[in-house]
Amino acid sequence: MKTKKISFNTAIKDGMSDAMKLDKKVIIYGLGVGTSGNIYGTTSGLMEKYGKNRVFDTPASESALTAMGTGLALAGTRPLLIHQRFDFMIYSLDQIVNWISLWSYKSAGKSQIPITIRAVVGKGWGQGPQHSKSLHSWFANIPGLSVVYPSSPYEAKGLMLSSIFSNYPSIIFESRTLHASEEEVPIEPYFLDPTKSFVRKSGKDLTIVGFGPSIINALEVSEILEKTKNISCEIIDLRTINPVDENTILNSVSKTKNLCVIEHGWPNSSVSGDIISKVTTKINLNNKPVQICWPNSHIPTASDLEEKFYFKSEDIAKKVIDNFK
Amino acid sequence: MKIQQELKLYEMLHLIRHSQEALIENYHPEDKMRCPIHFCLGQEALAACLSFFLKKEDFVLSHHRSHGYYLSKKCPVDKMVSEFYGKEFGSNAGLAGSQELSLSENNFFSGTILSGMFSIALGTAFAQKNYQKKNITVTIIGDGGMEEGICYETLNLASLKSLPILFICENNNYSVHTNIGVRTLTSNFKKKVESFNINYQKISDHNPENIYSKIEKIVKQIRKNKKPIFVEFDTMRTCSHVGPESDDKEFNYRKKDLAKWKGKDSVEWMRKKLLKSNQAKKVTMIEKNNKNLLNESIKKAKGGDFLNYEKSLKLNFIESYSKLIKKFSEPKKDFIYKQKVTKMNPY
Repeated sequence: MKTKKISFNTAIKDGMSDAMKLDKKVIIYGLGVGTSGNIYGTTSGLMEKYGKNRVFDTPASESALTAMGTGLALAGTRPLLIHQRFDFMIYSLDQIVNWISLWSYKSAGKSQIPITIRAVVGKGWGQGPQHSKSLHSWFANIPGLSVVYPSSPYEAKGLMLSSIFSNYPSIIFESRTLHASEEEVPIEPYFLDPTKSFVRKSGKDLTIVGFGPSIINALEVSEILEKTKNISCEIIDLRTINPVDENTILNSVSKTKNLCVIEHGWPNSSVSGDIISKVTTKINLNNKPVQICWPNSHIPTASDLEEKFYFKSEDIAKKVIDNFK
Repeated sequence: MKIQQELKLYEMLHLIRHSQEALIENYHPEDKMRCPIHFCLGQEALAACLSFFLKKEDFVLSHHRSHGYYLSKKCPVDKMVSEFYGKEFGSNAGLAGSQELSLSENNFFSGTILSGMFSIALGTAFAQKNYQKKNITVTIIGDGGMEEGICYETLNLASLKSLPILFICENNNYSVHTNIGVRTLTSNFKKKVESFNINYQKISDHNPENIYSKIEKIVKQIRKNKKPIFVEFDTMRTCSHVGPESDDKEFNYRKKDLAKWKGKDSVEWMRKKLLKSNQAKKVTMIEKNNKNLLNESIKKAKGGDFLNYEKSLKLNFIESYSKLIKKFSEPKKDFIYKQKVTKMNPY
C-alpha cells in the first residue's frame, strides 16, 4: 500500500473524503462545514466536490441536527454530524441517549442508525473551562453507542472510514492536541476494526492502557521507564471506549501483572477507573494499579494554572516507579 | 364521498376505536400488559383519514399516542397487541411496549420523549427529497410537545431546506393534566409556524368526511411542492392520559372541556350517517370483523412466548457494516514515536 506522511486532521479529512467518494449516501454537515475555517481544515473542498446536498453548513441547532441525523440514517443514508466544539453537542443529549442509543434495542435489532458524530475536544490555547473538557466517559456508559477515540493519523483515517460504514451509531472523540501529529498513512481507503483494541508496543513488566492523546504520554512514560529503570512496558491503545475490548487488556495484564491507565479526563466514574476495576476483579496484580487523570476540577484559562493542571509524562513515570516494589 | 369509501373510512375509524376499547377492557384485572399505554380514544379521526393517502415508503413518525397512526400506516393489529403483552411476536419483540411502538418494515416509528420524532422527520424527509423523490414524512406531535425548544429548531430547518414534511399537531389542550392556558400566553400556533415561512392549516372539524378531503389536499400539496405544511388538529382525548382508568373520575380536571366536546364524536358521526344510508348490514359486518380481529389478536398475544433473555442482551449493539468493508486492516505497530503534540496557536 502506498503511503504518505500526513497530519491527524488531514487524515480525518481524507477519511471523510474517501467515504464520500465510495458511497453517494454519505452526507456531512454541521455548523462551520464548508465555510471559512472548515472545522480545522477538515472539510475544506468537500462541498465544492460533492455538492450542497451532501456537504452543508447549518444553523446552531445541535438537538435538531442530531435528530436530523437519526432520520437520515433511518432513511438509508450515512450521515456524519460535526461539532467543532464538543461542548455544544451537550444540547443533543436527548437525541443521543433517548433515541439513537436505544434504537437498535427497542426495534429488536431490526432497525439500525448508522450515524457518526465527530466531537472535537481537548486542550488548546487557553481554551479554558468551557472548551477543553472531554466527557467521553458519559457516552461510554450507554449501551448501543460505539465511542471511538483515535490516537494517531493512521488510526484516525481507518476508524473514521469504519465508523461511517458501520451500521451502528458512532461518536468519534477527536483531541485538538493530536491535530498536528504526523504519520505515514495509506493513500487508499482502509478500514480499522473499531471493536478491537490493540497492543501498540509489546513489553513484559507493565501494561499501560490509554486512548487518544494519552497514548503519547504512554509512549513517553515507556521510554523513561525503560531507560532509567529497565521496566519493559506494553502499551494498549483502547481505540474504542465503548464497547471495551476487555480480552486484549486481560491478556496483557495476565503477563505483566502490573497496570497503569492514563486518561485525559476527570477521575470520577471514569474510563480509567472502570478499566482498573475490570482488571483487578479478575487478576491479582503485583503492585497497586496506577490511575492517571486530570484533577477533579474544571480547567483553568490562565496559562500558568493550565500548565500545572495537565499531567506530565515525567510525573507519571515517577508515580509508577514509586509504586513499584 | 361515495358509499364504498365511507364504509372503508368507517372500517378504519372503528378499528382504531375498538382496538382501544378492547385493550382497555383487557388491561385489568389480568394485568398482563405491563407497559404504560397512551390510548387515543376521541383522537381517531385524522389518523383514520390519513391512512388513505399514505404510501408504504412514506415515513410516519408519531408521538406517544401512536396507536391510531400505527394502524393508519397499515401495520397489523396482532403485532401491536402482542407488543403490549411483551411477546416475541410483537412488532418490537416486546422490547418497546406501547411507548416506543414501531414497525420498521412499514416505515412506522414512534417514541415517547416529547418532540424527538417531530425532529427526526427532518432527516427522513431530507433523504426522501434528495434520494427518493416522491415520498414524504408525516410526523405527529401534541400541543405539549410543541413547548420543547427543539421544535423551533426543527421548523426552521424544515423551512430552510424545504422538506416534504406533514407536521401534525394534535391539540387536545392538555399536557398530561395541565391546561394550555397555564402553560403559555401565546397558544396561537398559526403565528408561530408562519413566522418560519411554513404553510399553516387548521382542522377544527369533527365531520370525518371534511377531515378526509382536507388532508387529501394537504398530502397532495406536500408531494407536489416538496415543502412542509403544519396542520393543527383540534381534538379531544376522551380517555385518560395514560392507562385504562379514568383520570377524569380521579381528578375531574376538565369537566367543561368534555361537556363542550359532547356530540363531536367522529366515529359515531360516520356510523350514524351510514345507518341513515341503509348500510346497517355492512356496518354490523365491519364491527364484527374488527371485534374478531381484536379477539384473535388478544388470544394470540396471551398464548405467545417471550423473547429469549440472552438474545435480548445482544440487540443493543449489532456489529454489522456496509458491504464496502471487505476486511479490516491491521493496526500499525511500527509507529512507535515520536508522535508530536500539536503546538497550539492563539485564536
